[in-house]
Amino acid sequence: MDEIIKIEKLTFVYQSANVKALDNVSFSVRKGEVVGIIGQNGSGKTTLVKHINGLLKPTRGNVFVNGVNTKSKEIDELSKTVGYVFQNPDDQIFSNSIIDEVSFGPKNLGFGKRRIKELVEEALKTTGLEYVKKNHPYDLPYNKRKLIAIASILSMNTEVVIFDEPTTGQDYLNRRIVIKIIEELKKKGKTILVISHDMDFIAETCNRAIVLKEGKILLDDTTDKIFMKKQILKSTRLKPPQITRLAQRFKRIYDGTLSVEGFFNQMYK
Amino acid sequence: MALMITSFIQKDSFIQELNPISKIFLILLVITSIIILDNLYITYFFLINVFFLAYLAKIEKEFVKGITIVMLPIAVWFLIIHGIVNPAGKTILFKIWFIPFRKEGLLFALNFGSKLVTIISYFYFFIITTYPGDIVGSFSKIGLPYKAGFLINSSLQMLPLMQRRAEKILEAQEARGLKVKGKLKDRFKAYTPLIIPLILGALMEAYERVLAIEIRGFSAKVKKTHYREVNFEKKDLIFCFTYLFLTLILIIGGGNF
Amino acid sequence: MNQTIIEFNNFKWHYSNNRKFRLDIQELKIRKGSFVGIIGPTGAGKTTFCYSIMGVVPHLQNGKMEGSVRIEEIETKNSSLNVLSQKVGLVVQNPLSQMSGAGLNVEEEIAFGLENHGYSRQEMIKKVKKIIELIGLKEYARRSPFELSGGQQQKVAIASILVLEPEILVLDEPTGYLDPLSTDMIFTLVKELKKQGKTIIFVSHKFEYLNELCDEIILINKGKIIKKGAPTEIFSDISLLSKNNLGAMDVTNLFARLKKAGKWKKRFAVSVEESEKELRSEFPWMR
Repeated sequence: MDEIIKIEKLTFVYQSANVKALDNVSFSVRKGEVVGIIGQNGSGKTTLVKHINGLLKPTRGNVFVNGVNTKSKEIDELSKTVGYVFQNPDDQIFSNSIIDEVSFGPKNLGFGKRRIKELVEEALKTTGLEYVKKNHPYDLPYNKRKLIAIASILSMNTEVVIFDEPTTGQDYLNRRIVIKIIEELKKKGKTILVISHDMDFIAETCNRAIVLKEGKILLDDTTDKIFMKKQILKSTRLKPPQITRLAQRFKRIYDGTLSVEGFFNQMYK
Repeated sequence: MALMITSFIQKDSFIQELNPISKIFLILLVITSIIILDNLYITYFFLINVFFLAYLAKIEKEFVKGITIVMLPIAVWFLIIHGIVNPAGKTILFKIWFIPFRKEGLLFALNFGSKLVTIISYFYFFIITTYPGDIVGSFSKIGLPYKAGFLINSSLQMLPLMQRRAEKILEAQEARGLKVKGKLKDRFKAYTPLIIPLILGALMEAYERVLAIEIRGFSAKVKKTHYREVNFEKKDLIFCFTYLFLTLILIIGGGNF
Repeated sequence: MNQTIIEFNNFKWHYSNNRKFRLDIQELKIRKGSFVGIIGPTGAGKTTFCYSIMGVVPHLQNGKMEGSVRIEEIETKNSSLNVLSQKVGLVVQNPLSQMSGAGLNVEEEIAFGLENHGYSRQEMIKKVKKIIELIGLKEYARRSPFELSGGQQQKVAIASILVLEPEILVLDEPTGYLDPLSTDMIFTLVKELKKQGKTIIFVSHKFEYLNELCDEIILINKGKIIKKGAPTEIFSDISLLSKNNLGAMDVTNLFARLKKAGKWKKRFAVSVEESEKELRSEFPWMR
């Protein structure tokens, strides 16, 4: 089964506030895709993505993960397939050492001791934390703690990994580390969803993007084509990456150019 | 959905408009009479009175909910403990399993517990019917240092935020496979990953908040002024005198019940 | 008008739990009314720098200070935060932690600083009203700060500081947690404040915005000022940025790529407008 996630006519209403956060949303994600979910605050991005690991259940419609309807599964069951890295690492860090923190997820999933050790070592290596694994998480600054949060999901070795604003509050160096992490996950064939405000980051890591506005899908296309839809992007107040904006000022250069190298190549083909 | 309302509820009634000093005056009257007259009827009178005031303040639903959620478990626990181990206990009234509950202990719990519940109810009533900024002002008027009053007030405002954060933490940990339903053993293990981030986060935010208020002159050795105007009005006088009068009658007539 | 408003002299600071000198600034003069952008990797000392101007260092942090920081004629170490808070304001990254909880609505939150300084009620009402107009918070004046979005809370935080009418506004990555729309809103607001003559110190990673607004950029790393200069000078120096673990903007990297291919010999552009102009003038075949 190629479709690892299928969202079918999903509508969600927050009962207490009587707010319709998602309105008849449908799309599928194939195995190995890296999809960016973009849109203004309140557009429904987080609400949508919380349905994939079962934190939320549809008011109407269905969500299928690996062919299984999420309505019939508990969150801890779905967490075997779907890993979710939350935005604020301090909302989840509780252990006295980084290695303990990263071991929490796989332990909950019931892996054997040796397998846990393997997965944890690998996750620490991918995030560059292997030399500080005995340290207390709070010995590290906020941006490194974000990497601890990522590692603690990577160690669960889920098919699908969801990132919620992974580059918020990050400087240049750590952004590059996060991009590298996503590249490595891509190579392993993982399916990745990224919620982000960082258009440069989306352009660099995602091959496809879904634009949400007021709970509905506005656009669903490859990243380059998304950034070409100038009028629509304006209505959601999203700004394309700088290089793309420069490209759009020249007829000769493709309006969907996403990288410096791409721009250069079009100048000197 | 909040478990219990812990901060000011805005309603259109004169109770919210009352000067906090009036309400503090009432609380002092209640505490005095309950302690001087060791009389259960008077205690229950004041207990009924606070529910009546809650009704007048149009917050009776939230008030009852808040009181029940906090008081009921404490009251039951209190009754059980004293019913079993209070040294004054001699006469066994009944047994649950094979544990004896004695009359004197239970009576003590009922007596002392009712007083405690009544007094606490008045404090809760005060908190949810008084404008937070005014609480600080009124505390400082009865001698509490400004900073202490501010601390109490600001902490109360933070409680709903903490609740929201607790929900986020729960979601994050559930997404890592944490089981929160089912066996008691699992629920127990779930405690640490939920409490620690909550506490650490609260501490960090508190630290940052201290910084933020200091750079706005919090520690200035100047007499603090008030943006909001709080006056002592006719309704405050009527309120205070009515309860003073009632209390005096109870004290004078006291012992005749 | 071009007098010095902030002056560092042989300034050294280290926190008690870290023996190495955290911030070491031999000499720095910042002119009144200027908009200074502060850039640098995480851990460079940018926040300590902001604290030193506000007076948080040394008054609220444990550590050792040498040398001096002067705000106009006042030396921070000989003054108090109360006095300094009427000359300098500080806005930090987390909007929520700046909501004091002192009042139930935005108006009262803003008035809190004035209450602390003992202003009369009439004065407070006037100043609060003025600031709410200036910052555009009329719509939210009666709402609880805790119900607002991060961007709106940051506006409230800025208003709460500005109501004390400080000459200097220091902002330490105020848009770090905000979405693009709110980020834009904050930068627009700060641009307006600059027009009114405020001296602004702005720490950010958002080079495109800084390039547009700043008179001067200071690059801080490992506790020292690495370089100070005009935005075009700093943002076009790719090797300087790279040595300090910072990334140049896309357009600048494009010119570097052109140079590498032997097609560009001039200085690198640092904005989209400048890039378009340069490309069209040098390569007329670029239509």
